[in-house]
Amino acid sequence: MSEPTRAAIAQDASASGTGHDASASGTGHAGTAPDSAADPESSARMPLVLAGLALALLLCVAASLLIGAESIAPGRVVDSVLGRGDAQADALVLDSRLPRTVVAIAVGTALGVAGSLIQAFTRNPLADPGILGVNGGAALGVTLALWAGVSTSTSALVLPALAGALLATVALLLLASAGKGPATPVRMVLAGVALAAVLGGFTTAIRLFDVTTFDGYRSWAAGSVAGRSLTDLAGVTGYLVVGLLIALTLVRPLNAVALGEDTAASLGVDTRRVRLLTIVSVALLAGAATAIAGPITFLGLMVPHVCRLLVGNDQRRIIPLSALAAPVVLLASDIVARVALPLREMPVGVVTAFVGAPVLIRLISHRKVHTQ
Amino acid sequence: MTAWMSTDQGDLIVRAPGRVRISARVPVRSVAVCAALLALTAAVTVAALMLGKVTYSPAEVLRALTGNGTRVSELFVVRWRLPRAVAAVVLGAMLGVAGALFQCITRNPLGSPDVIGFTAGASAGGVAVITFVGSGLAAVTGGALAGGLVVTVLVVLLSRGGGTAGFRLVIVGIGLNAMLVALETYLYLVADSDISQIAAVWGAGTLNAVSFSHTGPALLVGAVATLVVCAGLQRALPLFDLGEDVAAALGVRPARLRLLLVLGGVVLVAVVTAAAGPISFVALAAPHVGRRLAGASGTALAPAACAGALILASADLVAQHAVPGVALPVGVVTVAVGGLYLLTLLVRENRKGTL
Amino acid sequence: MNTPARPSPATSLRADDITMAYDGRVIGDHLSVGIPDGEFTVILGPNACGKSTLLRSLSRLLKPREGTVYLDGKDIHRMRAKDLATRLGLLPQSAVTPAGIPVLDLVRRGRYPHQSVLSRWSREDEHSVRRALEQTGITELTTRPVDELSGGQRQRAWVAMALAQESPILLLDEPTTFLDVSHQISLLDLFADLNRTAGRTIVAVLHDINHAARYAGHLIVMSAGRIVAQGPPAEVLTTELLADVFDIQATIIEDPVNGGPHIITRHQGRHTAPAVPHLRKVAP
Repeated sequence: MSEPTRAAIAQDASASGTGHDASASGTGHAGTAPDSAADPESSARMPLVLAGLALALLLCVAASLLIGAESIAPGRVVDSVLGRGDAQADALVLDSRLPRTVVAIAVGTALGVAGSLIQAFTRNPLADPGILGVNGGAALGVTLALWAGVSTSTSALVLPALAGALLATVALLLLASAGKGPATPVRMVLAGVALAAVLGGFTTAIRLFDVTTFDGYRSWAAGSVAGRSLTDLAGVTGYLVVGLLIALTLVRPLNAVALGEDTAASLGVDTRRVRLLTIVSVALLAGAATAIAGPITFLGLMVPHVCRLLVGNDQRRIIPLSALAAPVVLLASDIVARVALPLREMPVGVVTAFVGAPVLIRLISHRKVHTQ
Repeated sequence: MTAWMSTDQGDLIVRAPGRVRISARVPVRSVAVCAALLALTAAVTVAALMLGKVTYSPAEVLRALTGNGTRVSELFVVRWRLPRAVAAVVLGAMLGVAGALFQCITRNPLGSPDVIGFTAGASAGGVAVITFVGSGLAAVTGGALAGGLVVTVLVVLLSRGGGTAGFRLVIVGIGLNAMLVALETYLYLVADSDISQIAAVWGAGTLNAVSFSHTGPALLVGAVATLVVCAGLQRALPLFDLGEDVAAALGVRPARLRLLLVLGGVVLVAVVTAAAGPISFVALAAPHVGRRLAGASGTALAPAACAGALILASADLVAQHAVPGVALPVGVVTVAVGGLYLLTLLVRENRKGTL
Repeated sequence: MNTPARPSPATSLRADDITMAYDGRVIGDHLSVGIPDGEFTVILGPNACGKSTLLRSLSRLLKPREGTVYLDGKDIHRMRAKDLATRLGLLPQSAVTPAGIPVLDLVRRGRYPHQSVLSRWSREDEHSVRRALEQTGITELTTRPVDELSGGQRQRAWVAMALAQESPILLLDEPTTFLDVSHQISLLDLFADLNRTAGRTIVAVLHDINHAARYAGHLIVMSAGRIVAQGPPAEVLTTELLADVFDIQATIIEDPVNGGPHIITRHQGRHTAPAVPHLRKVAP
């Protein structure tokens, strides 16, 4: 007796997963369906939000250079940045704080965009590369490579990370689409959690075989940007840039996909191409980010969601904004991670989990997502 | 005079003669499956007693168990290996029952305590106690119990308003799970490194340090609690499976039953976690394996318990002997194996659309 | 709209001045309703008028905020759950079919209120299950999994579960929803039959006004949380009531089958009636 209701609910969930209902989609003929024209208020807000986020990013960068376990006068930090600092300040600012700030921006951008892509493509507001196991796949790839004795430079580890992320993404989409009808948001999350648990189990098992090799990777395993160098970043920059460029081409098709894959296809979108490119882009972004900073969860979940609240449900605005907002969140979390403990640092992944998990709970509690 | 026994579609029906109102219906297949699972568990347990640095024959094991062995064999078999083997069986059965209870509450084949954060809650409570108080078993049990209960209350409060929708509960649990794992990491970092080491070993889920003096009381409590839970809930659960409204219409008080289910599940998970650390995925896999083998529909506690005992006993055997020279925490084996099982389960349930 | 005073029939189950609320949202206040014994009662009303809520209150699934529901003169919330279940059965909409459960297993679960720790499968249990299967005509299906049956058969299996409970009163929440019209009729015939031959009191929430008019011996019409009329269909169903409650303009004619009222809808609210289709244009 539950069959018809199930179907109706699943339909309902996929339609409302994006927050748009049928009445809004009725206006979109031209492939830009949930259009900005439908929501003048949030489109007017866009420049304001952009300016605010840019300012926040600047402030966070400044704070990231100024704040740390070692206290150092702001004047000396400025001197150091301008190239006339003393050796001690240079060591602290230029060799430690500046690189980790840049790394945090890159990683944040990557995860924010990956999160918004995967949410848009799966029409699932609960999606996140961390929750869905993509980062876990990358972590397993890195762990396997380390175990096999590959050099510990980031540029050598990025390929295994990408391979792991790609495999996990494909596995997840296969898993979630194996059923009848579209995967409901919750089904997708469950599949992802399962995948993440399996990958995590294997990762832990491998680490236990060879404790010495992995001792230095304890902070990496929890997700951290501490101690990363610009050389590390250089090893992954190419992948990040390609991933971001692909993401840009997906912005408009994903707006159509928001109405359902069948509707998108009838609007002239090549859904198979969109699917393939989304997978590649997410794997590149999440894999590269994980290779350098370890698995960081929840950033890709909360940032697109906050952006959606700010500027409405249009990928043309959400994806660029996520690219800007995610670094802000990650930098702020990293600063908290530096000062939360008296003597040592906390991995930033711990902070993002603490901030991000309540967002997930809030999403499910406020009926933004249809359960069942 | 009527027959004492008759059969009806694969069930054995037993009735007292005359006007005595005693009767029962015994599902033959289910009983046979439980017996077979227990026999296998016994075989695995004997293997666990035989294998190790010194290998004994089954006959020697039997002599040692009955008190007729050499002093050395008694030391190895009875003092060192037996506590661990018994613990694996009892804890496995508890996890199986706990998993069945949680899946019944959430009406979701994936609603096991691992997925929805209760294991992580108990684990975080245990780690907190080890870090700030000490590693005595009573204290750790208290911590694990408190952690599990706090998570229960949080999950129930946060997922309120979802009616009977188990899905919201699952997602809330996943969120809390992530926070608790983060909290544990934080605790490891706060603690002194030697305490952190103790906590980390415990946190991986292991039976390596089990002894009767240490975990005996927990095992006893656990075994009794499992039996009480099974006996008390066994008749009402099939009705709960039909939906809370139907259960209420048939004379069950669903709110009270749900509370009992949650309490039973949390206590079982907390005791297991306190004794051996968080052991994942046994609670998830055991109820499915048991149910499928027994051909039961809905919640089946006894098959779940038997399957749980077999799974954990086998997993511990593998953890001890799979890699020569390395005694893996059993939790690692159960995650890897149980996780794969979970994935196949997902694919199958997905295909049927029953998720 | 007041109902004419009449000598009230015996009502074992009645709600006395109850106020029903979900999470502080009042669905209906100060309702009083009696369910006549041995009658087929239908509760009718537009969506979200409180029909199902009333049924839930009558069956103790929902505790009224004020007022009392009585069964045989006793407050149902003070009765033992199992005692109530032997007197009052309910088939809710929220029933969950466990994956792979065979029909027989489902129907057997209806015997729970009659069982005890010692008496777990008595001869009466067996007889009741067999009778329920026969009455619903699914004796042949006992080994089939419920979730593989057709919609009509599945609903019959659930009805059999509720019948095995052997309660004199049976409440049904929208039992015909999601069924095609032939299964709807056959299920309603089954209820009418149970009511006539077995003397069971049946209370059903239905959507179709003509089904209600055809099958009900007693009709309760609700609108916006109030009970606007109760009585025999012929007295209750008037053009004014249909306009007020359902916002439809209708003509009531005599049902050519059983002489009861039959509703012919003309048009809804302020819309005009649709024109007669021009069949000529369709023909080649």
